[in-house]
Amino acid sequence: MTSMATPAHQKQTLAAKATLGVVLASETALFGTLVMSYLLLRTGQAGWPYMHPSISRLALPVLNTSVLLLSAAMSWQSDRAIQSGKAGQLKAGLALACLLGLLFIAGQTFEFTRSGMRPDDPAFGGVFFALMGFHALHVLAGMVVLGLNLLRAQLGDFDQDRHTAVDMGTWFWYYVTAVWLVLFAVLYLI
Amino acid sequence: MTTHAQSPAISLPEARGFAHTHLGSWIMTVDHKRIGILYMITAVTYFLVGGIFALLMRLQLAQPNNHVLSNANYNQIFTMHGTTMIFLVVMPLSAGLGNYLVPLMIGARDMAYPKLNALSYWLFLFGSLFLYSSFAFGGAPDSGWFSYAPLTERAFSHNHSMDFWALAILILGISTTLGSINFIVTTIQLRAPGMTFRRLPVFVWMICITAFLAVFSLPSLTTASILLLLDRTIKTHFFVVSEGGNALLWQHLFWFFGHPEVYILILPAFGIVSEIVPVFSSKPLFGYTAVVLSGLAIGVLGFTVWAHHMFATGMPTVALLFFSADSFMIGVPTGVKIFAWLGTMYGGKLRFKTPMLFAIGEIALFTIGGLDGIHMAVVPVDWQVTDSYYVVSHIHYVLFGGAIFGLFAGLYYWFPKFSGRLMDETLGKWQFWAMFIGMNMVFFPMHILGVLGMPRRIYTYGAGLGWDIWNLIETIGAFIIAVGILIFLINFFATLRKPPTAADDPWDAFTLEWKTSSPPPDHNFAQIPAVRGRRPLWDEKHPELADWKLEEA
Amino acid sequence: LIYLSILVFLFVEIWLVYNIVRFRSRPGDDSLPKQTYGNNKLEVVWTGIPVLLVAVLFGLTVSTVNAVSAPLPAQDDLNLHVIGHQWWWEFDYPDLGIITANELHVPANATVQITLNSVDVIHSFWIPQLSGKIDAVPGQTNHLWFRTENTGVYHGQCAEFCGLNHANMRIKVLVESQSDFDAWVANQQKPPAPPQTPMQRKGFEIVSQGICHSCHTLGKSRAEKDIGPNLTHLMSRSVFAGAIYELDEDNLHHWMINNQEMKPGNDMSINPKREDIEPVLAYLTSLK
Ligand code: HEA
Ligand code: HEA
Ligand code: HEC
Ligand code: CUA
Ligand SMILES: [Cu+2]
Repeated sequence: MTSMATPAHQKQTLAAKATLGVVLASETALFGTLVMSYLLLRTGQAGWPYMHPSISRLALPVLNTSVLLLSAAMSWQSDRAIQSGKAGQLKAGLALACLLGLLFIAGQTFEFTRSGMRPDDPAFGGVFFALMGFHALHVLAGMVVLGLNLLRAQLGDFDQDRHTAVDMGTWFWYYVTAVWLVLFAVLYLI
Repeated sequence: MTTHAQSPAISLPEARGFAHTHLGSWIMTVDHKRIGILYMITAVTYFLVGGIFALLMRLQLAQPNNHVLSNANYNQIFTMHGTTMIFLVVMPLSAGLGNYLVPLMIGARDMAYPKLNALSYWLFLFGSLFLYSSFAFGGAPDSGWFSYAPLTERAFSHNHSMDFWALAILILGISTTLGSINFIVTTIQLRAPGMTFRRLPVFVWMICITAFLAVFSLPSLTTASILLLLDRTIKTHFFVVSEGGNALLWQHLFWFFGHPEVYILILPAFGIVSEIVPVFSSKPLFGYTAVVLSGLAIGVLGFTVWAHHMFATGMPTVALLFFSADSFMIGVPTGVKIFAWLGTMYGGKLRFKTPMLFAIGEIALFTIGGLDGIHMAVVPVDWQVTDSYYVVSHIHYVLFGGAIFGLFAGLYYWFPKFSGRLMDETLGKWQFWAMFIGMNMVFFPMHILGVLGMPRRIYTYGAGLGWDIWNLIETIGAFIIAVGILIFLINFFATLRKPPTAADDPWDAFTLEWKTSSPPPDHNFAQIPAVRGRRPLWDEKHPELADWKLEEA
Repeated sequence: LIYLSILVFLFVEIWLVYNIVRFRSRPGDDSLPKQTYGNNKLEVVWTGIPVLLVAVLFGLTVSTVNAVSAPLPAQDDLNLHVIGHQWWWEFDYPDLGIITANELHVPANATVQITLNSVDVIHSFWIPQLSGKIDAVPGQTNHLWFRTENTGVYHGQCAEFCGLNHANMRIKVLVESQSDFDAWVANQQKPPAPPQTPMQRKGFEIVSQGICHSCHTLGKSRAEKDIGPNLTHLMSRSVFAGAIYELDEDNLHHWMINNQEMKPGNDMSINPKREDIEPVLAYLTSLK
């Protein structure tokens, strides 16, 4: 950050960071309890991991994961762009990140329907659905944030010195990606 | 109450006309003081409702085989009593006091996010009304305040009451989470110059720790209620054993929230007592650092003891012992606080005003409840007394004797700040003694009943088990408490009719909120005060004995 | 434990009262008390002593838990399988081939080994004077054991909230001398009494094939339909319907006419037809 930021603005940035930190901590507790529920259900189950036949097919999930990772990279790119004042690149990055997010959701939906599982299957279907669903909701929320930032970028709200919202959006997006990596490991790998 | 002037920052142009009416100014307000008052008034109202439920239960239990309430009604009433008292009384009352006081105590003009603050309150009100609307739609929730699955599954709970409960809990959870974020950011951001963390009033510390507890524990409850709703609506099977679910999953999720929750309920009261005891002893708090650190320790340990509510579910021995040991450990930091208050009083000059009486009452009663808690952490003892009236006794010694007494102490203490009027001391003392005596009459015999084998949550019991006399005494005690509460109401309304004559600092207190006028102006302080010690007002009044001189020496 | 608590309790309260009495402010005295801020030594002491106390407590807990949870399987223990139902208890003596409900018979001076299950929601099995409680959790088998000493009648009750009639899910325990217990066993092991009179025969048909059959079992040692209590030796029990009523003809009659009035919301959702009541009752009362 350059030296032009005013103290008041710095204070606001700090508040925004603190807020995001607390929110993400709380989100972590949320996903943590979900994952613990999954593990508890799983250990309580004779014959689990009964790999649902389709769970063992990793191609689509891996593809999805890479889409999300790519999207995070775009977001990173956009954040770097605005830090050096390139508003155009910011917009492009945000738009791409959003699109890739959408693609990810579509992929996840496809994955869920393809697997043939239903929420009302014996417990596994339900918990799979809940984990994917919770995460998908967060991806959607992240897309709303990125989208709003895109809108504001369009209105010229951001420049080299004022881009707190972009930073925040980017970090949230990283977080959502990181959560997915954990979920991916939990659901598909162990 | 507070003045009617509108804080300029918030008058939205189109709302201007409405926002200037009396009612409108309250509804549109984003002033932390007004939001605090809204919280408090709502919570006290719910306290009366929850108390009336309690009186109904006591009437039903006064005699064996009584017929005041049917089993269906009794179950709804004890569930709503517990849910109300915990989620709609103690939590919002603490939130209200925190809202009003945290900015004042740290020398700020408002909370960090005033609009979010208003949103928290309205979400809370909406969630609570939503919960109560279940009475009109086929019946209120009836599965106890912790709503154990699988009893709450559709197979065993056919009407919509549990859907109301789970949704209301979700809404209340969101409200509390938003409020907590606000408290944390406010404390980090808006402290007056010189108000370092080591000088923060203990009450602010406790509110902050509470906020952290809420932020980390509520998600577990959110998860639980969402899974329950999924089970009930789209027929997943998280808690349905025959379909691969787990009947104890709910308990783990609930108590992982539930135990931190009990510290969410008590820590603000501890904070209040830590403010009041020093003022009325004319001494600084004995061992400030230890009190703050013990609060942090309680907060951290609070996350590791949840399964002490599940000793009877058939856990492996190692787990039993682990959770037992942790629960013992939590008694140590709590003891540190108790001893710190006693140490503060020791050698002080005690003034027994009503706030001080309630604070002393809370120390005395909470100690009993806390020691009961330690008893139940002894696994074999718990196998005997869990789910009996012994637990009910513990709950009320810590919640009624601890939290409610502490909160009443706070209400009496800060009432002049809120309203510019001092409540009547004589009535206050009558209220205290009625509540203190009544409380022990209701809740002490519950120890005996628990040991005699009376389970909780039973709407009726047979004669000849040796339970009758104790139950009768308890019912009488409950009505003595009710008299105490009535005295409070009389005192409250009578005082509001009097002219506002209280001084800005009627108790000769130490902290910043007493520096400004009573009630404070819109922006709290004409000039943000500078702080050099833990007791800025003391320093001002006794420059020769100022705390900062000692700090520097 | 109790002594320890009383000690701590007295210490705190006495100090509290001492403070209150000793340091009340006296009118006309404006002096300021000495401003003490803390005392590290004292604070360490009052952290340390509780630590020691809880360490002792923990030691006691460990030894007791170990003593209690170590199962002592022995040849002559009485094995008992207890099943929680909304809102009555089923008792299955697997070694004796007996199934009964609500009223539990055990010999004196014996060790009873219990395995616990539930068919619906969580219940908790508690006979305060004989043992602590353990929950009956669906999908999980829990264990509990206790030793009986003197003969006598004990009162027990479901302790985990399980819905509408949680308060009406009681247990009557009869601890009997070995000979009384053996006699009881011998009687329980008999097949259900065959109907004698035409009235009873009609009742038998309704109970064994008619509407009752879909929920209640007669005769078999293992119930096929596990919804209502086994009726084989109904009249050998002294209480029924979750052990809240004396089992006599009047009450049984009332139960046949309107069980929902006696135990509101219980799962026996039908009553026999008016004209069936007399034969059913005639047959049931013969089931000694
Ligand atoms: C304000 C709320 C509050 C607080 C602060 C506490 C504090 C404690 N509670 Fe309590 N508890 C509840 C609210 C609270 N509880 C509720 C609502 C339930 C019932 C839920 C339900 O089932 O409906 C419950 C239930 C409950 C159980 C489960 C009982 C059961 O269902 O079988 C247990 C078991 O271990 C327990 C233990 C403890 C312990 C060890 C503490 C400790 O934190 C206490 C520490 C305090 C002291 C020990 C006293 C002061 C210390 C000293 C004077 C120092 C010297 C002390 C020693 C040397 C030990 N509590
Ligand atoms: C902060 C928490 C709190 C508070 C303050 C109280 C207060 C009281 N509680 Fe409660 N209680 C709980 C929390 C609390 N309780 C919880 C969590 C449970 C467990 C629930 C469960 O099992 O799920 C419980 C359960 C519980 C039971 C056990 C029910 C059962 O297991 O079957 C009983 C029984 O006596 C009881 C009694 C009382 C009484 C007599 C009071 C009294 O102190 C109440 C005093 C208040 C009043 C008497 C109100 C006065 C009102 C007026 C004077 C009217 C004025 C009128 C108008 C203006 C209209 N409570
Ligand atoms: C829908 C299932 C159902 C049907 C049909 C049914 N019952 Fe029941 N019955 C129950 C249940 C459940 C209980 C336990 C009620 C309780 O105590 O909560 C019970 C209890 C009883 C008891 C008391 C037993 C005890 O020891 O507590 C008797 C006697 C009885 N039923 C007789 C009958 C007769 C006779 C019929 C037929 C005319 C009948 N029942 C039909 C479900 C049924
Ligand atoms: Cu079964 Cu309570
Ligand atoms: Cu607890």
